[in-house]
Amino acid sequence: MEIAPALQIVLFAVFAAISVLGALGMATTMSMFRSGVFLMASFFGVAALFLLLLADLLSLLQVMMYLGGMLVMILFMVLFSSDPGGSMMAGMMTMTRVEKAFSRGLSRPSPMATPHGAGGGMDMAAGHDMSMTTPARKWARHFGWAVAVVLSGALVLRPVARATERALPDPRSPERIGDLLMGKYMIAFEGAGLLILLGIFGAVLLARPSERPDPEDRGHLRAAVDAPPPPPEEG
Amino acid sequence: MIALLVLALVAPLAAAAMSGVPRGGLARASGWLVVAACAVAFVAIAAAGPGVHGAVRWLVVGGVELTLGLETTPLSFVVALVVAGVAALVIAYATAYMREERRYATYFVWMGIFVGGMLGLVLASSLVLFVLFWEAVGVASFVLIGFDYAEPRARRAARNALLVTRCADAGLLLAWILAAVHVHTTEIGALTAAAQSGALPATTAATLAALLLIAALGKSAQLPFSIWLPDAMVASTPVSALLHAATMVVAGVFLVLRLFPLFEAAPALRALLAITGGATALTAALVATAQANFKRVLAWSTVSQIGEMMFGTGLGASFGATEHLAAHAAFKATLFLAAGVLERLAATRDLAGLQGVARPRRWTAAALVIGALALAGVPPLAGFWGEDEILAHAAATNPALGVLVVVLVALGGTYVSRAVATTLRPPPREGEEPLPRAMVIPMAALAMAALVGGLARTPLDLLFEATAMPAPIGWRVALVAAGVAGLAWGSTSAVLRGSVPALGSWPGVIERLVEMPAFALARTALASARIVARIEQALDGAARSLVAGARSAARVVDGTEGVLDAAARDLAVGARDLAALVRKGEDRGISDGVDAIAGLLARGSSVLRHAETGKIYVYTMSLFVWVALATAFILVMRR
Amino acid sequence: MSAVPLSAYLVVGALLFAIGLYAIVAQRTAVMVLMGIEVVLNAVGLNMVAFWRFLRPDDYSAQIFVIAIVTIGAIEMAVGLALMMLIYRSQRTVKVDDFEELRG
Repeated sequence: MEIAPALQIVLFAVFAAISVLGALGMATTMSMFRSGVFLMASFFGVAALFLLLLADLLSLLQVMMYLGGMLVMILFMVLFSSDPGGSMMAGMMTMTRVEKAFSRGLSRPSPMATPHGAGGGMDMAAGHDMSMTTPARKWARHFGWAVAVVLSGALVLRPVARATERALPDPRSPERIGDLLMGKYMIAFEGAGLLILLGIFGAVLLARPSERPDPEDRGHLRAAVDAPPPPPEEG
Repeated sequence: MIALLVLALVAPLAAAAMSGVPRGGLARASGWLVVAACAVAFVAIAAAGPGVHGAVRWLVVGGVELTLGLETTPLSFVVALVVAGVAALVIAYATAYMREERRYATYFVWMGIFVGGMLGLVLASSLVLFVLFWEAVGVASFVLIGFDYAEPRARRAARNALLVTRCADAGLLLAWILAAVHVHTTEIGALTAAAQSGALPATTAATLAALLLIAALGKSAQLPFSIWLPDAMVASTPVSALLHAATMVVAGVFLVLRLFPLFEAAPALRALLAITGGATALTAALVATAQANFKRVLAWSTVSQIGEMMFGTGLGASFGATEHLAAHAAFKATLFLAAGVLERLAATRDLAGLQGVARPRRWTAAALVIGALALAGVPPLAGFWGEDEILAHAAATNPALGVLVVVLVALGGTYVSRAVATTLRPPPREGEEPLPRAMVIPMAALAMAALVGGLARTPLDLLFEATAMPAPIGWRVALVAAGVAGLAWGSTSAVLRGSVPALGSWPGVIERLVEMPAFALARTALASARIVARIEQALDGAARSLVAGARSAARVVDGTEGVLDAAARDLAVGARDLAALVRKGEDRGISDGVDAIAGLLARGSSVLRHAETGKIYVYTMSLFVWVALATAFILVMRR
Repeated sequence: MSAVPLSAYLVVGALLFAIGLYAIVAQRTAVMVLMGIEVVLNAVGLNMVAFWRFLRPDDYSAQIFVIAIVTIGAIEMAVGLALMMLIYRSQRTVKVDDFEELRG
């Protein structure tokens, strides 16, 4: 069924904004839990964009797999980490405007706040190194901006000229996809299944409790890494 | 329908498999399990009726279609019923007879395998299956003869049986391949049809008939392959009754009857069949009169009776041979089971030791008498009708052959009555314990079959659509008279003179003559082995002298080597001085230069090592930067 | 006819890609890095579907490719999280810049 062009543009704008802002929020907020939620929003936005592009099956898959599967996994892992809520972090750092925007309501900035990322990755706060980002943050930011500007600029200044619409995609697309999966791409399908199986085995195997007790801290490991290399052997 | 045949085939094999599994108390049930399977097979075959045929194509290889299938021609229907019925009764007997056997369950496993194999052989419609089951019953016979493997005689008898039948089986193996190549299929029906319609060339038919004759002679212990059967009597009585009287040894006759159109197409072989059959029958009957062991009497009697069946088939009395086959199964099995009972009572098989044992036992004595009368061809018992038919064909061909048949019947009566009368001779020996019911009932059932089996003649007649040719009345009277005379002679001889051979001891000589060919073969093989050993010794000596010569040559070479050695040493000293000179030069120039390069590399590497920070974000970042640069480069290049 | 041109979707994809890239390099915990990877995969998928819709709407191989991308992304995330758990057990940290045992 055809949607009116104006409505199409509006819907596109709304969902594109949700996608991009969601991703941005994921990358900049101080709270890991909020990152997860923002990522969820971004996935939703992309799913809606798929619907606009008339790829029904894919949008459903996007929702089911990303949101129903991966996001739940991510949230679980997030809850295992320290300070998932991000309040301690938000209280310790001074943030840029973007970060402040996405981290609203976490906690009040305290007088001990240090600029975020100023310590070169070793942002110490009360003896703990405390930062959401790695020391490469500066470079990453510049590079990210560069990529975004270059690509968007290229697309805006030289739009893809060869795009023509020959026909509207088949409303029975899931059946077509199913035919292809079972026919032409059977090997890929089966290979993906095998890969999933191996992945499951691997994940379960890796996450088993080990026989040796886990070390209490990293001190001895650190010492081993920092120790000078042994002298080369003679002969 | 075909499912019933498959059931009949599978039931004994399944019972054998299941019998092998349980241990301890459950093993006792294995015997009855096999009996039940044989009964099931009997009922299944009877229900299926004659005229069932089901074959499936298995492979097509080299232009020959290999099939697998089962069928019931009238002949195989009758024989299969006989096999299943006699097997059921004999194995029921065996459950009591083998009670003290330690490996009880194993015995019945092999019995089950044998019955399955025999039924498969009879019911097979494809040469592939036929040959397979032929071999299978040969193996089962080997195992069952040598079941008491601690006894050296049993081992020897089993080995001899296997070897002799294997040599003869070569004929069958060659024949089936030849037949399959000529007819392009392994269906027996197709083969017989081709033979009957004349589609087979005469030489092929003759070759096939000859090869099959060899195989049949071996399996049925005819001359010249007779030596294995009397020695196989060392086996237990149920084995002797089932394998070596009623079923396996008649496999040869069955083969000939089944593929009789081949013999019809090759008259020379048909005559040969009759000749060997008749000669065997006569020789074996004579030898049987001189035996001192009850079971050996019965063994030679079996050889003789089968010879008679072959003789009859060769003369064209196929129907009579079939009748006699069924009747023989009944009365011979009866006699064997009775022999087993006697052995149980008296702990011996020698006639001398069995005197008077059967007299106080009503059922055993009755079975013995009925069996003897049937063997001697006394009407209206079962044995008469087949012999009558054979006599008719023989007399029609040549009066001398008719006389031969009469003589055979007389001899039959003689040897069997000698044996039986010995056991019935007074004074009676009082037995101690009563016989187990499981031993008496089958024996009585088989004796009943021998008694009234003649009544089955009419339905068999209809089944085979054969025109029975009764003998002229004169011959018939001669037959009966000869039988009765033989009985009288043998029994009086037994009663009056004890267990002395009835006709004197000259038939014993014949027995030795029969064994001679096999011994001659063995002696030749031994002599040739000795010759081979001598040749080997000669070769050994030659090799040794060669070695001595080589050693002296080596010594000469050694001397010259010493001279060359000194020259080489001088050369080496000179080379070493040269090398020292070179090394001095190298130390100065080359190694210093190489050291410098190595130092440069080490310094460079320690500088580069700083790029490996171990931090993931550095690696990721550089990856993305690198990809961006490469993309830009490619885009610029493509411009 | 679609009122929104192809370039618009591609721009959205490019922005998502850049943001994901930033997250991969700049985030400190392994979980966040994985989230960044997911955003990048999303961007790629969006690009693919946009191209499919506008250039080859009758050949569904593109959608199957996207399904494959999603599947493999899921597997990779599962194994990655398992590895993260293992590393946490032995090193007691999840911060990416502490994993520097491979330093030359």
